[in-house]
Amino acid sequence: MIIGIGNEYRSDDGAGLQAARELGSLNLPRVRIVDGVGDGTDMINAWQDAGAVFVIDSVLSGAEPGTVHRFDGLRDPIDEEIFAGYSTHAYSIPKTIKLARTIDRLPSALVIYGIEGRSYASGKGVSPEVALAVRGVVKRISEEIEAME
Amino acid sequence: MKNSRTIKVDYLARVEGEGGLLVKVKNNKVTEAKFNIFEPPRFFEAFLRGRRFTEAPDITARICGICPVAYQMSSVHAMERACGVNIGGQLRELRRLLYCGEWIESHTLHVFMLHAPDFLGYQDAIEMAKDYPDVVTNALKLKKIGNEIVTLLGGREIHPINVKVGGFYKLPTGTEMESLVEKLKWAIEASRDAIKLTATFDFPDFERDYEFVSLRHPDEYPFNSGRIVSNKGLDIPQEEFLNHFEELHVEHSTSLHSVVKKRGGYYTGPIARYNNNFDRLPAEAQKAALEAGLGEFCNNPFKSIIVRSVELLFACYEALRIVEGYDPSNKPSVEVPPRKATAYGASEAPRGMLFHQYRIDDEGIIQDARIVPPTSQNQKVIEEDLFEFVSDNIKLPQDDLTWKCEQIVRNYDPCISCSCHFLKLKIERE
Repeated sequence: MIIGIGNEYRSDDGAGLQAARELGSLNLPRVRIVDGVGDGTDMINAWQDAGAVFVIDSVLSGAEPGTVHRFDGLRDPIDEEIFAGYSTHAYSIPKTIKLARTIDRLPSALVIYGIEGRSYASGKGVSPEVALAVRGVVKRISEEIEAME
Repeated sequence: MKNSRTIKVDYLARVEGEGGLLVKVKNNKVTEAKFNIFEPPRFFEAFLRGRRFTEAPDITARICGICPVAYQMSSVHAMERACGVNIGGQLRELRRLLYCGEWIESHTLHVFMLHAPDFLGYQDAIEMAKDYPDVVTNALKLKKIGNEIVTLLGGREIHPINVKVGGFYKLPTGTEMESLVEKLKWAIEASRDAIKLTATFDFPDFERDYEFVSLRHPDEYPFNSGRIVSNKGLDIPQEEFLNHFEELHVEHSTSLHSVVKKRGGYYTGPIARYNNNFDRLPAEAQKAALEAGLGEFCNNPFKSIIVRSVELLFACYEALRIVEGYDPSNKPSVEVPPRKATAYGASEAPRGMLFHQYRIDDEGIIQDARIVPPTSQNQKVIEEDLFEFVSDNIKLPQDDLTWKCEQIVRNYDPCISCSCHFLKLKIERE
């Protein structure tokens, strides 16, 4: 399962959605694409019956725009600050992983890709360096899925 | 001796949006209680000017990721009423079902994930989940059922796209609706358990003489229609809202404060709906509420968590009723030709009454728009609660008092993004 997160009307925040949709257009066998998950609790529900899960989101860590961060969601510590929840009403990715771990609802494999954004201003379309990073993430996830098969 | 203090919470967690609280105490008397909202204004009312009347449901749905259905419902009802079209029969029922989905999602999130940790003494639901894994697991399942209803009727989980002025773009199939039956039967039992659990919580002894404002319908527990009523004698049609209520600018908030003219602050949301409409709840929901010790009238805002659970039960019953009566052969929408008019629409968002007013021309172009969300309506009452509670509990240690003040705000499940469309809390003792 591939979960894209973000708001396509807030520039580079749409990077995760864009990458998930591009992966969807590749029609990879046995891969389900989920775009538009409301908050972390919905993410736990979404991956309920999935085996391996890839989550793609935009991040703000201060790195160069277009930098790709990759985390093993089951093992790596993840900096809560860089995956800010879109609201305090909702659970960010690191909090969602903590909650899922507490109630034993983590998938068997969980890979998180974070794409460093440049701009989160109103408007559609991502920055050129983010578009390049999206293509890179699409390629890397395709290869990871192929290696799993 | 220190004779004054300040209680401050800079960033209040488990609410939607950016805001804060400041309570100042001098000589053991509260001198100031402010609910600060500093999220910048979002200008939605200005975006709407010049757009077609049919675009209002999709534009306004973007105001909130938690209650987009409420925005869609208030706007479509306003536009249809302005154009002289009344949506009845199954389309009306399906709108109620969509609203049930949003209430189930929103109430479940607030009751279990945001508010219950206050009563059980946890910083958040992640900590709570260590000791109450089944409660959290069932909450996720319940929320998923709400999401499924919104997805089925609204086309997708967040910011639904299937609602239009005149009805829906596409209706669900009979099989899709049937898939909800067993899930809703489970949800009814899970909601009963929520009422039983929340009824065991310790509630501060805090009651005030509020004016509770909500919709009231002749036969139904209110969602999309009814007169605007209060326990203090208000009973008006929706188009008179602005004659009886006014919005005021205050310096510490980017969100307007609402008052009943010549009377002051008022309370909207689950407790207001419950108090004004107990007789409209299904008998099973009434019974569950009474068994939980609620009574037919509640003026303790801390008990809003039980009332929300009762509304959860109501929404599950109502959804099941509509799903079981569904006939897939009906048309998805009716034509709504535009005409020059002023449009009014109020509906009951999970956190309270949401009022919309639009002026449209002969071509259906929006000339101006006015949106009064529930959280801005509750701001004044929240400040008054803080003032009264800190005054009554001045001797509590700082940490306890700050915790309770945060809880007071969460009693209202505020959606600050909607109202200014966020929360920081400070209690200062000098």
